[in-house]
Amino acid sequence: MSLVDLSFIIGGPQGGGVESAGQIALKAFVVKGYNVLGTREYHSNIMGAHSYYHVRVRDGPARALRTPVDLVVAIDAESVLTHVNYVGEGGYLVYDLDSVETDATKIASMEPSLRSRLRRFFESINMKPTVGSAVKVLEERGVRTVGLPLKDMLKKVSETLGAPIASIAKTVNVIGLTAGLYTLGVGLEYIVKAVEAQFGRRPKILAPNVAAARVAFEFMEGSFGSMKELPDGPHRGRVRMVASGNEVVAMAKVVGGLTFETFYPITPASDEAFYIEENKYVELGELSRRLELDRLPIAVLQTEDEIAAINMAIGAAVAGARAATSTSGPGFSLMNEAISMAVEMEVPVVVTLWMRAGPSTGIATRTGQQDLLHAIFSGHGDAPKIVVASGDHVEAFYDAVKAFNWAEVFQTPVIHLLDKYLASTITVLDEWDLDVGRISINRGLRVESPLEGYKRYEVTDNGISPFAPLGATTMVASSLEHDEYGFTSEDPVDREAMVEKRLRKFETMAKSIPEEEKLSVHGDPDARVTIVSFGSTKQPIISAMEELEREGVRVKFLQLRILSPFPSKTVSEILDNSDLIIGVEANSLGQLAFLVRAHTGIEVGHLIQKFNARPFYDVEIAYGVKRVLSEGARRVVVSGGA
Amino acid sequence: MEAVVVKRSSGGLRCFNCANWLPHVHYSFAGYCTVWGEVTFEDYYCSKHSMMSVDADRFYWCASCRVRLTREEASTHWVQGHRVVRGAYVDPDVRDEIYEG
Repeated sequence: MSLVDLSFIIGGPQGGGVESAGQIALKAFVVKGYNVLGTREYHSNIMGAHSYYHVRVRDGPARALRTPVDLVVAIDAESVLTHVNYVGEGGYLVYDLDSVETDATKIASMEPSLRSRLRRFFESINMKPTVGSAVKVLEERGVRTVGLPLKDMLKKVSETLGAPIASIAKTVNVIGLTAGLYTLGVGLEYIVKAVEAQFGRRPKILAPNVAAARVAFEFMEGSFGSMKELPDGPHRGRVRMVASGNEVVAMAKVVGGLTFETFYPITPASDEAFYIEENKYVELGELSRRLELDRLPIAVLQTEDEIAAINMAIGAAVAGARAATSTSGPGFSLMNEAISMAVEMEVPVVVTLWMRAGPSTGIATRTGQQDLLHAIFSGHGDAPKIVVASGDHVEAFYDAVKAFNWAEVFQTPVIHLLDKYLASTITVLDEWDLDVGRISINRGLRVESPLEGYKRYEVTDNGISPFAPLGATTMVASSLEHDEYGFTSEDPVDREAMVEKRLRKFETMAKSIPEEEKLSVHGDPDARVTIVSFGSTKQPIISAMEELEREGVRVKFLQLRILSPFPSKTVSEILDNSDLIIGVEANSLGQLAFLVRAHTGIEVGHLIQKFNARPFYDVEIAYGVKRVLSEGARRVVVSGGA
Repeated sequence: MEAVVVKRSSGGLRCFNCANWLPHVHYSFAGYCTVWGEVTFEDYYCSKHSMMSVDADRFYWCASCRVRLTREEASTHWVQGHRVVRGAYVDPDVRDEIYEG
């Protein structure tokens, strides 16, 4: 059991330094030797609305976020009021002393519904909805509050430097964060190292931020005495990597042989393409001489829309490139016709689909698992394709490479299903977590110099025809129904032969992909209660299972990783041996439960769902399981997150 | 040009109510002085102080509502006691913190 288990929130206006503060906090704990998990929650209005960074720190695995938290660092008044009910007894609130008079009803950037809820809450306890009231409520609950004279501290930073501070947003956040980290026992040395890691390449920003950290730490020592130091964690001194899901997938694509990536800007997919663009010129070292290349031939192209993005990727793939495009739900809707075309043309293209909260634009910058069925049934006509869903950063890394291999081996579109939570979540990884030595690149059955009479769509037993890149010989790659050469044909015999060929290929996919890559079973395999889920719920579920096990509740977790072709037989066998099946999904329709029923006839009798566009917390899943077990609840909807 | 910024004005004239001063878009206790080209705090004062008013036909910024306003709109906000200024200061690193929508 983990001895150190800390959760905290840093809140402020979007654009006000919350992102940097969160990352500095994560890095400080990594330097100190702990495992970390942190994610950002931000409003889609681009600037000014409340955003926050939610962090979990453990000496054991940090698998999921949770509430209540041990600390809220509130850079502004809105953050105090928004998170008033999130700090646990014995926790800390760090806030700006100048904000105590601020009334929730006067905060323009606050969601009106939240304003109303706060007004009702404070009315119910005969108080005004002000920061001062919130501070008082928290103190009565046993929360320790730390009021900072933020303005005066910023002036002191300015005086220390002998210069005005241009980057106010970043300096204010470091002042608040440092005070917060002091309460958790993180020394100035670690904070300064983390600030240096964050801004080290930008000396003009680094100096004021280091000064801000020093001023804040001195203030805390002056006010509260010497800090009670948190002991170093088990990984102190080790070189480790801190990366987001976006970054991990981008890295995987680069080492997986990507040569052409397209995108049209959309949350949360764009960061992946940006990262590839920024880092595509990796050092090739010895490979440089062997490959006769100075640098990797990767093109990243921002297109005019998602229709162009996927069609360009398809064009590149037909020409022999390892091609991918990256998007989220709304962009994927625009790609539907082209996905169908890729199935018909048998084009190896990867679509990285970062799910977010729909339908429509929905909540553009928040998470959800609502595109599972959309991914599987994308494209008109009989358009089977591979859909793979990754559960965490490590799986996402290897799945991104496998997606390319499967696309090229089976000459099919592959949808790599991820979500905004994974995209934005930063975790700490070890070198062996992302082991390039475990990666193999399989480009499938290719003929670089086909003989005359090459049949692009040759009918074969396994449905796979040898692939030649466009230009290698005279050939036709067609989105119209075709004969073996690719020439358009409406002949009924040709049509039937091609449909059967594509079906055989889908069956080949189902048979060729090993079962252990299609699904995983976590926990006690003999447990009679089975949780069924997919995607980013994996780690929160495992974390919840650890808690349930401590309470004597035995549960196993069936994690579906390949959703198409669906591993019906194995899923049936596992679920047939369960007395109780509980689905966990971040959607309202129970999309995975629908698939399980469709493919196995087995009913997922109980659902724990979350669709408020915030990620699952482990405590919510544990709560849901307990409610199912104690009350037989058919549907438990959990709603944590601000 | 020699700066004559003094700290902590004891009178009513302060950067806070100066027309030449643009409060930070998020942290309005600090801001940018368009005369001196420096970041100062709201309780600073200098000899170039010019009292803020809403009269010229131009765009304004309501720091209370974080919204840009026409003159007519600004007058309404002004009368309601909102903090209306000529613009907001967006510091050079705010863009690092903004994500695509």
